[in-house]
Amino acid sequence: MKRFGALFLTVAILTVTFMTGCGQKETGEKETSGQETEVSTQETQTQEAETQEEQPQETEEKEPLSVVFYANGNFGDNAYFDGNKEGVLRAEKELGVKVKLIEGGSEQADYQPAIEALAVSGEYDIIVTLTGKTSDIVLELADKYPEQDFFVMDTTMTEVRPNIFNSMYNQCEGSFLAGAFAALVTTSTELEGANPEKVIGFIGVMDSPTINDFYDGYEQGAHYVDSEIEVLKSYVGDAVNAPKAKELAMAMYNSQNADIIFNVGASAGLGTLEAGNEAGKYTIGVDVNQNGLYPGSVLTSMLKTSGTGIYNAIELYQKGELEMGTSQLWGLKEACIGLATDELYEEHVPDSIKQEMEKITTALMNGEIEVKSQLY
Amino acid sequence: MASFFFQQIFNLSIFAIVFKLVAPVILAAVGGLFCGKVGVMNIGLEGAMLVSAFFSIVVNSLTGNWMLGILAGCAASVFLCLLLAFFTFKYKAHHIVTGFAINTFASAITVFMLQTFFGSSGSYQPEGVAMIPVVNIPIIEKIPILSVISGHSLIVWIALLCVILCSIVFYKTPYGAHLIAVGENVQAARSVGINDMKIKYSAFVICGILCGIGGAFLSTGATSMFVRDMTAGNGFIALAVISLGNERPYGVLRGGLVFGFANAIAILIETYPGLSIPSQFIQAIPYVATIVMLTIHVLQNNRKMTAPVKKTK
Repeated sequence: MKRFGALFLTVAILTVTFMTGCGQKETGEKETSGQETEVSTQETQTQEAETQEEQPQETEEKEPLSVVFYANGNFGDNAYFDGNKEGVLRAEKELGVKVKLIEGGSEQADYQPAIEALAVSGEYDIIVTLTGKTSDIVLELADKYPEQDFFVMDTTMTEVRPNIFNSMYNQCEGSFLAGAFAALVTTSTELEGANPEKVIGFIGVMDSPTINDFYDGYEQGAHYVDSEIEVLKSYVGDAVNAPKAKELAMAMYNSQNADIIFNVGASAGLGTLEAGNEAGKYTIGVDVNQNGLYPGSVLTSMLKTSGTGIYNAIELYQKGELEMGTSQLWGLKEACIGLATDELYEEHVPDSIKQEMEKITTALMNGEIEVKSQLY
Repeated sequence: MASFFFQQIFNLSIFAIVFKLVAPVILAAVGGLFCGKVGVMNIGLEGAMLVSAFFSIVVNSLTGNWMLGILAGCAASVFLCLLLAFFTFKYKAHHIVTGFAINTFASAITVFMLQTFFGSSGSYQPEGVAMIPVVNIPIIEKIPILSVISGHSLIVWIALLCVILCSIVFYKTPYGAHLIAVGENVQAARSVGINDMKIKYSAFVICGILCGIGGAFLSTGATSMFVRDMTAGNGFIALAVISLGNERPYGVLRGGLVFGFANAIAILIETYPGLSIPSQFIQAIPYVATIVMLTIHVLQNNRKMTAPVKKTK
C-alpha cells in the first residue's frame, strides 16, 4: 500500500511539474527558448540548419528580415496585445519578414533578462517591445548591444540611441473622437438607450499617466460637443477583475444615469462591455475593434491600432526609410488611431451622429482642433 | 454627496451590489472554515475558485446547462482541494506551501488550457452561456422595502443557506463535533474511535464544493466570461473574512457583509461625478475597513482574555 502511495505521489508530482512547466510557457519565464510561440510554419529545424549553412554564400539582402515581438503581457485580451500581435502577423504575411512572438507575462522582473537574451542570441534584426515598462530596459541594452536594433512602441522616450526607434501613439487624439462620439450619443434623441441626462462614463484599468491620457482626450472631446456634459471616471485597479469592472459600469448606468461608457479596461474591460449590453446601454470599445462583441451595444471602438504602427515601422525599416534614433508621435494621420467604422457601426449608429463624427474627424486631421495632452 | 449615499442606501440599490460581491467570498470563507476546523488554513481557496470558474464556463457553454457547469466546476475544485489535503496529511507538507503551490498551479493550468483549447491566453467569452438564474420572488418584488430580497442570483441564496447549514453542522451534528475534535486534539479524537483522516478529507471535499460554487458564480453568474486570474484575490479576502468572523459561520457572514458594504461604497464613490479623491484611496477602502474590523476584533478578544475571571461557587 505504501509503495502504491509513493508511486501515486511520484506520478502526481510529475504531472504537477509538467503542467506548471507548460503553464509557465504562457505566463513567461526567463528562458526565452521555452516560451516562444512559433509562428512561421515553414521554419523547421532542418531548414534552419540549412539556412545557417548557406548563410555565408548568400548575400545579406536576400535573407528575410527577422523580427521578434516581445509582449510585456498576455495575448488573448481581445484588445491591446492582440492588436499589436495582428500588426506583427500582418508584417509576416505581407512583407515577408520572419516573425517570432513572445508572451512575456505580467512579471516585470522577467522582462529585462528575457529581452537581453533576445539581444544576446543575435538571431533577430529587430526586437519590438511596447510601453514605458520596457523603455528603460531597452535604453540600457541598446548601449550594451549597439549592433542590435530595437523598436520601442507606444511610449515617449526622453532620450533614444542610434539603434532605437521610438514611436508614441496619439491615444489622446483617438480618445477625443471617442469623447465626441459619446457626447453625441448621450445628447441624441434617436437612440433608444440614451437618456436625457448628459452623463457619460469612463472606466480605466488603473490611475496611470497613459490611462489618464485617454481620459484627458475623452473629456476634451465630450466638451467640444457640449460643455455641459458630465464625465464620470473610475478605475478597476487591475487588468483582470472583470466582475468588478462590470459592477462599476452597472453603478454608472443605474445610479448615475450614464448612457455610454468608454472602456479602457484591458481584459477586465470585457466586464464593462457586458454590463453595457445587459443594461441596454452603450459602450465604446478600445484598442481593437470590439464592436462585434456585443453588436448594438458596443457602438464603436477607439482603435489604437498599435499593430498598424509596428507594421508601418517594419515596412519603413525594410525600405531603409525609417529614421532610427528618433522619437515620433503617430496619430490619426498615420492611421494609427481612429474609430472603428465597420458595418456594425453603419447599422447601429444614427446618420446624424455619423455625419457629425465625419466633420470632427476631418477637423482633427486638418489641425483645426487641437487636442492637448499632458504626455507629449 | 452624503444625500446621494443616503438615497442609494434608502432605495436599496446598494444591496444588489453588496450581495453580488459578497456571495463568492462567503462561499469560499465557509469552505475555508471547514478546513480551519480540522486545523488547516487553506490558502488554496483562490486556486480552487479559479479552476472552478474555468471549468464551469467551459462545460456550461458546451452543454448549455448551468447546473452541469457548476458540477464540473465543483469537481475540478474538489480535485484541487483533495490534492492539497493529500500532500498535507499523507506527506506532511506544510499547508501554506502546498496552498500556494495550488494557487500557482490553478493560475497556470487555466491559462494553459485556455491557450490549448481556445487559442487565447487572456480571456474566453463563449457564445450561449446559460447564466445561473436570478431569483425573482413574485409578490415581494413589488413591495417597496421588501423588494430588496428579490432579484438576487440563486448563488446568493445558496451562500446564505450554506452559512446556516454550516452552523447547524458544526454545532448540532455529531459530524461537526468530530470535526472540531479532530482539529482541537487528534490524539483524543482517535482515542474515542474517530477516523481522523476520513474527517479531514471530508472537510476538504466540502471546502472544494463550496469554492466550486463560488468560482462558478464568478464566471457564469456575475459575468459570462472567463478572464485569467479573474478571482482577483477573492480567496484571500475569504481568509480575512474567516478571521474577521472569529472562525464562526455567522461571524463569517457578518465579516463578509462588512467587506461587501465597504466594497459597494467604494464602487459608488468611484463612479460619483467630479470627485477629487485619488482613486487609489477609494480602492483601498475595503481593505482599510477589513484592517479596522480586524483590529477591533483583536482588541475585543484581548479584553476578553485579560478580563478577570469571575469566581463561581
